[in-house]
Amino acid sequence: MRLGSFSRMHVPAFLRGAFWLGLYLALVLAPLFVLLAGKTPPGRGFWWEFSSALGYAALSMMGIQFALTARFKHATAPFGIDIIYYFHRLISLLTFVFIALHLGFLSLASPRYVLTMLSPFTTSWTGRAALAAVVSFVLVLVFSLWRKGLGISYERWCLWHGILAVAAVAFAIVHIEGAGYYITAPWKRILWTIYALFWIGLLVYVRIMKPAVLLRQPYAVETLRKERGNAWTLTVRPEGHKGLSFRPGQFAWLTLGKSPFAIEQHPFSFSSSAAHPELLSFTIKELGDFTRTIKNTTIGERVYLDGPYGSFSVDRHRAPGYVFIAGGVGIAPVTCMLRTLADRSDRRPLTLIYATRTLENATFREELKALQTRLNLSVIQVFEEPPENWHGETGYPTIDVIKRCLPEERKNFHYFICGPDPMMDMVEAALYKLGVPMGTFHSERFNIV
Amino acid sequence: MRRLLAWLATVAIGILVLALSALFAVMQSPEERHFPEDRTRGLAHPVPHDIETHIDCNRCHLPEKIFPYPSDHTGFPEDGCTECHRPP
Repeated sequence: MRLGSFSRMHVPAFLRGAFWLGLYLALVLAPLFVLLAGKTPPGRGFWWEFSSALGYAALSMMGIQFALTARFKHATAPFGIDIIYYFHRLISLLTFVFIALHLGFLSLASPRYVLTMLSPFTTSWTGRAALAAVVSFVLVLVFSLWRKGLGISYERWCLWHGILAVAAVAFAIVHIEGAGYYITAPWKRILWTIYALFWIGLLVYVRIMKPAVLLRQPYAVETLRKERGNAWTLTVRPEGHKGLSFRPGQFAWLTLGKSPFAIEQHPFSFSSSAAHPELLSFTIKELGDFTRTIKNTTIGERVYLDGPYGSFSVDRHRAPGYVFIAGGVGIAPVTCMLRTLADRSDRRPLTLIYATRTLENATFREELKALQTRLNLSVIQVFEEPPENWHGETGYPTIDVIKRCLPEERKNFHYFICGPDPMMDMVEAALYKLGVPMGTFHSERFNIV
Repeated sequence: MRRLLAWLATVAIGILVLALSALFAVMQSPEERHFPEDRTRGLAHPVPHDIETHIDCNRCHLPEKIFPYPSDHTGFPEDGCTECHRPP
């Protein structure tokens, strides 16, 4: 047994989560403790110093954003990577608040100074670096929050997000090095340099070291099959290596037909059984710029996989039975779990509530029927536009539908929800109202930007 | 639920950073704390030069000048140096 799997088995997820959150806090607050330590230069008044401290904290938070998206498996496992990305977004907004307060409090301390600083014509080079950092960071936020509204493709967004984020941190470092009021002591300057090198190291790890490892583990497209519901199943085979083993319900970042050093990567759930890692399948619905091109993939084309990731798995949440609630292509990770449970001859009671627009749109319809013969599985389909003479559930998976469909004997069951965001919000609210303990329902959201 | 926890963690981090930043600002700004003047009167270092030819203390003792006053003097009145620091 590997050490990693041993530690995962014996340390509860909440303890591992607390450890990583504590480490994050320590890294964010470290610059403030460094400011407080040792001999400090004379103060310049409460608002000025409050502003300075918030500026340092904001820079620290900006730098550690690179760690949040570096996809460290041990760090993301207790939370689920979708929540790490959500947290990354929240922290960006909090950082923006601190940057605004940094400027606001400085205005309180010395309005004339701030007015001079804000003009790129009258300010010093330190001030210009600060302005460039703020502009870069604001652009990162605007492009991320309103990407679709601005008509920016995901691929172009990935590129500019990276460039602007690095620019924001680099300009902010130049600003504090130039202002330098609290880093005049040699040991403080060394600490800040180490901190900046740590951020650069994260970039090197994500953009160079990790892709270099992936380069040695290529995959080739084995088959491409059309599915119901405007989806395609892409199956890949490892080339010259053992491939990766994963837990049912997890996902990987896929780079297709390009070098693993390409910035463009897309997260997709495995849809094949985890019991057969020699062939890995992903079921991808045509929804965006990249997914619409998946049908053009050629057999034998080179693919790189970064994974597995995610905590959305029956293997992470042991229970006497499971309820799956899927919408649209959200059926992909659920099918992966059902296929794996069937391959393991699992006889625990399973319920699947599967919502699609029409009968024809129901991806894996025939296979789900076949899986019912191998599993203790009941499938309830919900159609928005039901076929003629349909006597089953219609509309959306509302609280009434879920209440009717849940098994009577469901004590200690766990619930897995995957589908479009509005559906997941509705289902989570319904389960909560039905008295299902919050810790027993799990969801995964890929709508990152 | 996980999103709610992410929100709570973000709010907690925000509060911690604000609190620590405010603590730093208070430590660097003693005018925010109460210093009874009579406690320091007469205990301060004497001025090591004459004050007849060096009338304006701020010419040399502001934070950015050559002999800045110590950090715990922030907020003291700019014309009040000789209240505590007397010539020899």
